[in-house]
Amino acid sequence: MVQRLQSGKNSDAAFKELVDLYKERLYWQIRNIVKNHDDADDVLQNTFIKIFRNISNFKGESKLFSWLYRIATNEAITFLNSRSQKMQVSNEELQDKLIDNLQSDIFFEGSEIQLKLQKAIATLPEKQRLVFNMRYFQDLKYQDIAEILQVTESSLKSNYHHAVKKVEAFLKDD
Amino acid sequence: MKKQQTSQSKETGFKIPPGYFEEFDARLSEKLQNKHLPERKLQSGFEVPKNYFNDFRVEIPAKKEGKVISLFSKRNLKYAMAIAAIFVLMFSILPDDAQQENDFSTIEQASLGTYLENNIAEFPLLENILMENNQLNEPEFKNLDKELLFNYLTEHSTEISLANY
Repeated sequence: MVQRLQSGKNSDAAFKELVDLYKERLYWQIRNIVKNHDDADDVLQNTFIKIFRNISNFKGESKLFSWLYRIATNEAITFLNSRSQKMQVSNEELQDKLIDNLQSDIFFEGSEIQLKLQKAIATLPEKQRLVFNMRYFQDLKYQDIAEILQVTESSLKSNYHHAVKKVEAFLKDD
Repeated sequence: MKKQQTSQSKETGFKIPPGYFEEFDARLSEKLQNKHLPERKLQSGFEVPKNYFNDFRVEIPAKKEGKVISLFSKRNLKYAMAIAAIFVLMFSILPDDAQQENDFSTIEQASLGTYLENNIAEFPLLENILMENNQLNEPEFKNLDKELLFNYLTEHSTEISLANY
């Protein structure tokens, strides 16, 4: 698929194939970070546009899968940073606002415990939040997460362990 | 079995509250929910609009191509001509000192002599200036004894020469 995308011949068809294959997985990766559907849709569009324009730069040093996830993750984080700058609030304050908005979001139908879980995740540092979302909700392997986030597997496991402990403590105390 | 749950055990003598085992599972589940992370099966709660993934299309915006501006457009040509005209005028009106110096050094001696002769009246001589001030016409000066004048000049010649330095 990469060769077809990079060759120029039938690249449009190959790109459509790539979109169909990854749109759902990348959507959930983004949605878990930005929380809101409309924002996730915008970021997903930008992610695929970036993929389309940069596919010629993909050297194959990592898996296509992890390269795509990395772009989606970076786009989502950039989006949130930009949003917090526009609103002139810190990243922590923005996370609180995102969770507050969930309660009136028509595309969030979580139970009380699901909302509580989202609140707990929002209290985590950024890296732990990313790792927790990828491991807990998307069931990605440590090896794949390590390749996406470009960190070692051992530090990743440590991050996840700390994240789980903090979430458990939050749920217990709340 | 029923007897074991509701009454005392004959072997140990321990008793259990009525209905203990029936309620056990529910209480355990409640405790797990409160103290531990919910099982993996718990979803995030996020929903997507109906048919969102089926209808999803990526719209690649067309690359913006830079506007090509011709160097030889009529407008640019006018500007270029105006700038050129300014330079031409500037060089023709303003004096060029360096060039004048060169020209002065190359003037022929004969031409310079002719010019001075023709225009000499414009440069007043020292004699004329003195005459205009009537200094030489003073009666005392005309009647001055030449010998006395010579002696005076001899005595004061040192002062005059020193005053020049």
